[in-house]
Amino acid sequence: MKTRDIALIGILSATITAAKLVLSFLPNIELVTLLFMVYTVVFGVKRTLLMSFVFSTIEILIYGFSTWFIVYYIIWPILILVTAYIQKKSLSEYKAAVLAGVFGLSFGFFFAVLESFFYGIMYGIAYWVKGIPFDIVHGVSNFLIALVLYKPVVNLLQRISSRERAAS
Amino acid sequence: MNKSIKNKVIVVAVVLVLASLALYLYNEFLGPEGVAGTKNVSIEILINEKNIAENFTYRTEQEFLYNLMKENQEELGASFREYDLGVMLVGLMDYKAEESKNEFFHISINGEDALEGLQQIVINDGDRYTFELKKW
Repeated sequence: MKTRDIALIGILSATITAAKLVLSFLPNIELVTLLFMVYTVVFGVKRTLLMSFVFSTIEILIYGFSTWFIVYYIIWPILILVTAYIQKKSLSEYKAAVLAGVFGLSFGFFFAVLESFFYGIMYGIAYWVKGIPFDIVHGVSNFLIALVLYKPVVNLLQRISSRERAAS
Repeated sequence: MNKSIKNKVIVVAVVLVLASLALYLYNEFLGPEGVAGTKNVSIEILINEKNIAENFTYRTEQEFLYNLMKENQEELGASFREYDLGVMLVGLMDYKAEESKNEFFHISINGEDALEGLQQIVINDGDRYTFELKKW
């Protein structure tokens, strides 16, 4: 891995953490999903997977250890891999919005599955059902954010990235 | 209006309508149901930092804990912060949990950790609600 990549991963991981923190006062409305998708498309799977690892680790350093961190190390790489898979056939803004929306809707489900390993299946079901309104908000906000911002952010970053490559 | 923007506006409108419908159906079929009738309950407040240990008993017709606390907000010295998705308890006995110190009010019902927020906690006869200032 080049020095440039290491610096890039660090900076972009910081942008993801900053994006998370800046909207943390709004329950389940976030830019993290969009950024992981955009970074996958622009900077590639390998770099973005490393960003997800850095991001999840920083989250633990900020919020402390709990059961959720296990899901974080799994769920973001899944999003990145699915984004990369869909991107092979071209990822339009509508496809991106649907992917982000479905990801947001299923977010609570992933955590419920993990919680059920620790506390039993009934707890997991209760956890998921109680969180459905939050998952709906998460899914809808993800969908709208991706629909509006995915294309312009990808275009912008691709321009900057190609300019940087040409300069170096 | 540009056709692409027009399409997006339509999609956004459809998604918002579907989301509203989904939230309505959730509240209608999966949301918590209150228990009607008169109930006798108690609220215990523990704030060790201020040596506060208060106990209040109520005879109430309210169905959810938030409504009971709102009704007795002055006596409980309670303060709440409202979000789009609900209400969070931030203060009791006129003491506000300090976010900078990672403080929050832990809620337990009859000695067991509450799994829901104030607006979802259904009041049952004989319940004892304990609010203890803790740090996360």
